[in-house]
Amino acid sequence: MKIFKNILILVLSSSLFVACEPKFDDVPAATAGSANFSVYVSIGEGTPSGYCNGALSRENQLSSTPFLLSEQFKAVGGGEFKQPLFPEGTSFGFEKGHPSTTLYLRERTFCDDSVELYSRMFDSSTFNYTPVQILGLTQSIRSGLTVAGPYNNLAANGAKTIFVNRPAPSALGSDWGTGNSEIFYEIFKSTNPAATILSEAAALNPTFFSLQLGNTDILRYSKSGGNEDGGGADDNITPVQEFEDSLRSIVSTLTANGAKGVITDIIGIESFPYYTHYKYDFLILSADSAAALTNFYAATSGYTFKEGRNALVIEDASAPFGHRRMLSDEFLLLEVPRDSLKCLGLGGRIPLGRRWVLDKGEIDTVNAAIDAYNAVIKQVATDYDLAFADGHDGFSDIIAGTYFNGKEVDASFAGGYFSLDGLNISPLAQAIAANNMISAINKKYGSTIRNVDINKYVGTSFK
Amino acid sequence: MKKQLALLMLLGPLSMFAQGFQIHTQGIKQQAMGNAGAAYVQDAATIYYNPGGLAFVNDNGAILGSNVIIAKSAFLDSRAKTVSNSTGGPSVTGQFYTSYGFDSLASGPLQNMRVGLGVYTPFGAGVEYADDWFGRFVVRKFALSTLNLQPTVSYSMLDGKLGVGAGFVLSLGSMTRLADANTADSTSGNFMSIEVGGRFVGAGVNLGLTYKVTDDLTLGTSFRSPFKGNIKDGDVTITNRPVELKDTVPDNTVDLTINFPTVFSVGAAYAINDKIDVTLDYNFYGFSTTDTVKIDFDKNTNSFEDRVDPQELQNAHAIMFGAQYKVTDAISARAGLRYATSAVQDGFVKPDAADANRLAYTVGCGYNLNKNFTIDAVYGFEAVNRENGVSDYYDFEGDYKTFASTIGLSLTYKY
Repeated sequence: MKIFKNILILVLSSSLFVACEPKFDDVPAATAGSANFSVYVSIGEGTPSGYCNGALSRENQLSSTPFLLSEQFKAVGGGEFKQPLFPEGTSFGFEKGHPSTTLYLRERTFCDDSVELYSRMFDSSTFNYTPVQILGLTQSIRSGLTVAGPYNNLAANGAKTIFVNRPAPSALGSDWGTGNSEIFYEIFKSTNPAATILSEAAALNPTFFSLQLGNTDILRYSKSGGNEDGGGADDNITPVQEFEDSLRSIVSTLTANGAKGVITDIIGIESFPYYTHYKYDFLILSADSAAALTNFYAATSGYTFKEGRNALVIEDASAPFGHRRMLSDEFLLLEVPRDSLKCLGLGGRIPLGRRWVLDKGEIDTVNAAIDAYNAVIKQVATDYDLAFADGHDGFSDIIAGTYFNGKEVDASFAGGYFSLDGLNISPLAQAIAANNMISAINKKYGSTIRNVDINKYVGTSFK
Repeated sequence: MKKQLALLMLLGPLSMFAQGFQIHTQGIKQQAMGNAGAAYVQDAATIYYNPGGLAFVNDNGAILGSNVIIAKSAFLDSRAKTVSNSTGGPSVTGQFYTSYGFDSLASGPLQNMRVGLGVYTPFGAGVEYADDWFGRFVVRKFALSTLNLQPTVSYSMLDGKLGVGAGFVLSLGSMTRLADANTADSTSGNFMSIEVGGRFVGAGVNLGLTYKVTDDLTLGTSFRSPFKGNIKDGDVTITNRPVELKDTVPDNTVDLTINFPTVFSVGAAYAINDKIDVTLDYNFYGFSTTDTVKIDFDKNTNSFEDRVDPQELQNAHAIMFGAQYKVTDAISARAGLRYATSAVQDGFVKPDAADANRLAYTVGCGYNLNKNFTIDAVYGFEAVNRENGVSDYYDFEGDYKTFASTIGLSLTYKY
């Protein structure tokens, strides 16, 4: 009996192991490699500024790629990273001379009583095109910023590469474009009237920088249906040579004191839901209205329509009757006026204006520019020995839908990668992009900077 | 707006079931000997290990036993280098075996027959992490449990040298899996989560042969058939669903199938002397390569797409060794080792299938209270380390460590 007791005690005491938990004791610390992250500066456009869901807000400034990078850099000697943070709960966007706030996905009832999930604040056809007084607006936002400069994140929505080293005059019709491009830099720029984004960056004497540029040099063209919205020269694509000259001057200035950096390329136009969400056959008809429309065109182009989805009728000055059917490989823009499509005969009896369509020739123009820019970016990265984060070549996976850390993401509208404006990426995608940049940095400089925990960031927002 | 919204799938390829889900809590005596029981006939728990051995059980009676399993897991993700610890509590399993022999009959073929019933839990899994843990979009909670009922008949032949046995297995089980979806309500900031679960019934057989080569040497082999657990109209529970998604992510039910493997065992038991017995088993866990996992939603939307995924698990193997020492007539001491290979292939490792090759240690003892009653106890420990476990599907990777301890007690009554 005593022996049994002893054995039983042995068995039960060994069960004290139950209390022990598995641990990871030897997690290696993050290291900086050959780079120095103590003064980090970001230059870029809307996305790196935190522009998201059609507006800039504090919440999204705190999920901008440069800010997420700066948080990871802290473990390897990174210093303070200042952003021109908005006050809590405020947001500010600017579309076509019209101030706006953050977009949310919500149910909207259209003119024909149909209900859809829709994000835009108002139907584009009701836009008021009269520009508001920008100077007053920027002054009031500027005075509300919660962090004083100089800022490490100098990314500004609307910043074309060719604007980075140009002063932003506080007036309409400036170099920076008709009425809205410059205002985001206006909000936080230094009081020195001659200051440029580049001069402010250089003044910080950075040891490390990131460049996220190039989309905006093309965006104003593609977003206006191929400069068909009266934007003038500002809505043209930046010529490749000008793009290259500007980029080289930026990089040569920033690397003058030996700073290291990371540069990103730009993704293809077919990536953005702004161009892909609606399709060419978005003319949805009942049997009666299809018959009526067929009858309407009987005397001219002879187009026929059927119940259900039909290719839209769009303006085309070179077509026999000044209109033609939209082709399946042409892009219908996200901001197309839905109410007018549904109830006023737009795209049916009234051919749809080309401002809402990116046709085949325009798409080719845009793609040629993207390819040329990316070749330049890659070459500049090589010439200046920078870390190069490829976003373009791997993006087909995201278009098809893929997982990051268990989160399913795709490039469709509200698919988690893009924000609801269809052009700027979501906080989740900012984290994914930041991790892509970290991989490039680690590879280039032999550092072991840790990834951002993407789980904390949201893809699609509802209200 | 396609699938993204619910992202459902959660369910993902349901690699439902790793060898790790094979739980080793059958028979307290056998557990203490590394779960080697294909040849070594101890008591009526051989109904599970080898129905052929039941013919050699000498006493009528019953065994009632229970195990407490405490598994603690930690995960180090390879990218952000965050460490997460599992939060699930202990789980308890029960078991019951009874048998009756007709050897008291004066004559006739029934004299060599013994019948029995086994109730045990062959498979089970439980993984739970904090609500906001790093892998919340892969899985937050996964639980699988089975309870098998096995009426068994065994018959001795060839002058008592060969035992042949067969059992019918009825398996009652339940499964639940919870994960977050990549969609949050911007007002509350809470991610939507979806839990899928339900009960299933499966059926199979357990067949075995035991052969006494000499008085000291016994060989045994058994075959436990694969079976399918079919969940019909399983629950799909959605929480924190943004109202806008009521059509895309509707209330729903789901049918799905869980594949359980073939288990094939061979073993040998040898009595070194009057006091010491040793036994060695080999187990094969087979997954049919043609099996698939089907998920069929009642309502199909972009978020609830039916799918057929390939079975992702590979065949696995285990070797068990056990020894028993009779300290006195009343007291036995036991110890064992068990080494098992993982059924989870590289590229398919995730928090609810973080299996790895592992070694388990077991110790135990038994005490005969009197002629009729015996109590037995067991303690087992195993450490499971899967370094750089990668799920290609979920793009999720890191190091997994699990410590699992088992304590068990049983009371045997014989007459």
